Amino acid sequence: MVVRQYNEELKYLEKINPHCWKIKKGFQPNMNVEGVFYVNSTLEKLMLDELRNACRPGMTGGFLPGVKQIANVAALPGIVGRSVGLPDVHSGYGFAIGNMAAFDMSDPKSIVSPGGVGFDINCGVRLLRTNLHEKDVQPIKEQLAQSLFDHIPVGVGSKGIIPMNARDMEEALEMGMDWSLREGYVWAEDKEHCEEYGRMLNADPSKVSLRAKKRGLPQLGTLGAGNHYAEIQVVDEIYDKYAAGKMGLERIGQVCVMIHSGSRGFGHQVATDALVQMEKAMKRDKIETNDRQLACARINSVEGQDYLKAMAAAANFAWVNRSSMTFLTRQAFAKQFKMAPDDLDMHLIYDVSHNVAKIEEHIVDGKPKTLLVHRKV
Amino acid sequence: MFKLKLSALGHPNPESFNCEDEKEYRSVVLWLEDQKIRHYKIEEREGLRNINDETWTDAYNAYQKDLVSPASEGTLNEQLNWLLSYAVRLEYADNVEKYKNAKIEETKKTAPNVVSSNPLDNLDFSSPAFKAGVERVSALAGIGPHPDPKMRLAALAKILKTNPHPDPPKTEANMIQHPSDVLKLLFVQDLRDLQTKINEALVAVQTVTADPRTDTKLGKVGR
Amino acid sequence: MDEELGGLTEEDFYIPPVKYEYLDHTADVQLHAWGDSLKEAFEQCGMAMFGYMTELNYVQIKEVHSIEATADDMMGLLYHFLDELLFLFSVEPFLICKKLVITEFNTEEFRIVCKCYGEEFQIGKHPQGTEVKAITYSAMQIIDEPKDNKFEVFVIIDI
Repeated sequence: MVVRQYNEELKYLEKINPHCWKIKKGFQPNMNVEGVFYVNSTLEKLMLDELRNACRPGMTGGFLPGVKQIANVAALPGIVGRSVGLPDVHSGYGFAIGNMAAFDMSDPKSIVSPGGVGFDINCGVRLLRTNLHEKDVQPIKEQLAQSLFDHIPVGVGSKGIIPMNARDMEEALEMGMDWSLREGYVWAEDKEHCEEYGRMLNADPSKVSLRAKKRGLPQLGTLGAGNHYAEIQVVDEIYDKYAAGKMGLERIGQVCVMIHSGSRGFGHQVATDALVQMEKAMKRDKIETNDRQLACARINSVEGQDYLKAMAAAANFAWVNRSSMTFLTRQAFAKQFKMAPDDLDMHLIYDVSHNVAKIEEHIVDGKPKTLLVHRKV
Repeated sequence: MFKLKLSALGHPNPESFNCEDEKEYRSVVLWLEDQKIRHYKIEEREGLRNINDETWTDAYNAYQKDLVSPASEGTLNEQLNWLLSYAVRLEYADNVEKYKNAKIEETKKTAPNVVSSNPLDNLDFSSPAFKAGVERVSALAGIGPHPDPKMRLAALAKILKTNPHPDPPKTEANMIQHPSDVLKLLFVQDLRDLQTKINEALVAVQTVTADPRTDTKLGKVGR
Repeated sequence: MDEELGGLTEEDFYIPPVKYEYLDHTADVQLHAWGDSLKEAFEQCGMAMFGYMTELNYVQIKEVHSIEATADDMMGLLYHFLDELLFLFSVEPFLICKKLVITEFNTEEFRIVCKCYGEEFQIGKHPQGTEVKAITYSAMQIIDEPKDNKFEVFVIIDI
């Protein structure tokens, strides 16, 4: 890491509009592209404080500030456009949290990095609606919450209540939400309301270690801990009546359920395994990065391909996991209100992933390009 | 429904007309032919006159065919709407001189005169300056032509609300984006129908494959 | 590998003193452990991780399991040692450990064999602490200075 005074560091940052800062080349060594991050005044202060703290003399170890991490990612081989910090940006492991970066698939030097996806592969959020009003729920909210707790295991050491054996697991990893659909845990239209239709086609369970599978098996249908949650929410304000109507959100006070969870121990282990493999690949292919945490491998290398296939399996695991919790939520509501979930209109509004790398077509400098886009938020 | 056209034609009770009532509907059709359209000779109107008879519908269909109504395949309301419009056109053609100078503003006289505190309400929407101004912003925002500058202004307001940059840069991205958007719009309904059929098929298969189970003994649940 | 409860001797129930602390970071936590030898610092570091998942006072010693970790260097060894312990907790036998005893600490071939004393994690009996997602190399430090009798390790765990 280049060590400079805070004032010196600031010379490499330029505020290009009230919500956007540019990180110029030279802020960190070997930057291939510029960096950019989007913040309001509150977040801007946090971001710059992070940098100022890191510049204090005697600061060693600990975390790199988010700005530095964005710049380090800008130095990775094959990156196109810019290394982007979204408004939730803060210091993370290798990549900053909120860091997005795309790599040109046609460039043989381009890399894939598990740090750009995060440990909780395909962590995501899904929203279910109901036709209930807040006043329907208010009198029995204690019982309803307890019922959710009884169905969805939460926290350290919890185990799921959906029976699964090793063979089910293999199939689920390959099929994602199609598995949940086949087994009857979700509705056909749920898939339409899910990113990637709830299935990554390049998933290959044979590229996943036995260790990861063992960690994943008992945790299917469990929420996890930390910032993960299953919440009963109420529509408070409608900004766009038309769009909200299309999503079946018609009125203030309407009750919804939001589930935020990921691939549990399964994804954590896939990421851990990949990091070990990639350290070796980096030595072999002589890939130099500014930060040891930025373990990566060429997309076309065996390690890179294996990671993408295992990551896809973990993504599928996460979708099956959120689908299982959708099933359990519908059950819990059905029992409390003594009505079928379809009569409660418990449709999935959308499921969006925020820790994933995907192959996408984008226009770069006026030309269509196939990119590997890392998203970690 | 149809109140405006009925009162324009001088129907005795345009306010209370209920187009859902079969009898009233039939009487209005007869009234139109008797008083306004007069396509048939009086003795030929017999079929339409039998408004309580089952044969009325056949007579009505034949009548529409004779008038070459483009709405004869539509709903009853669409059919009646065309008849009314047709009658209005005939009425106008008969009395071009009388109606030529009719002004919409005439209705205003009956309305109470509201004094507005909003300066925009006092704008002269028909002034050339207003028209020229709307023309200029419409060109910038790429809004198509419309004879009424107020409509164009409304369109502009909509665009500004949804897309604060009304001037899309003409880059190569747009050259690909636009045709792809057009294709999407053309086929979105087909895709929807296909997806619905797929979903139906999936649900049918689910009746065979699905066996969702839970086993609370396995779980470790609780707060 | 598993030993029956009857195989435990009185000595096995001796609980070592706490020689670790938690240093909080923005979103993660840093484990800092020390001891009279590097081996002890490693043992303490492992117990620190378990202590973050629950309150160890509630854990009884009912079973013993043995794990093995190997690596190419010291940092790798610490990493894999902790990863093995996390694995022991995450899958059958779901062991939450109160006490760790390293029986083989080979710093030349980088190999550890460790006896893990504890019991199966039970919600209700054991308070739910924080879930550990993964071990990281982030800012990892191993201080091995026998002449000053200074043996310390720092590890950040992803939570």
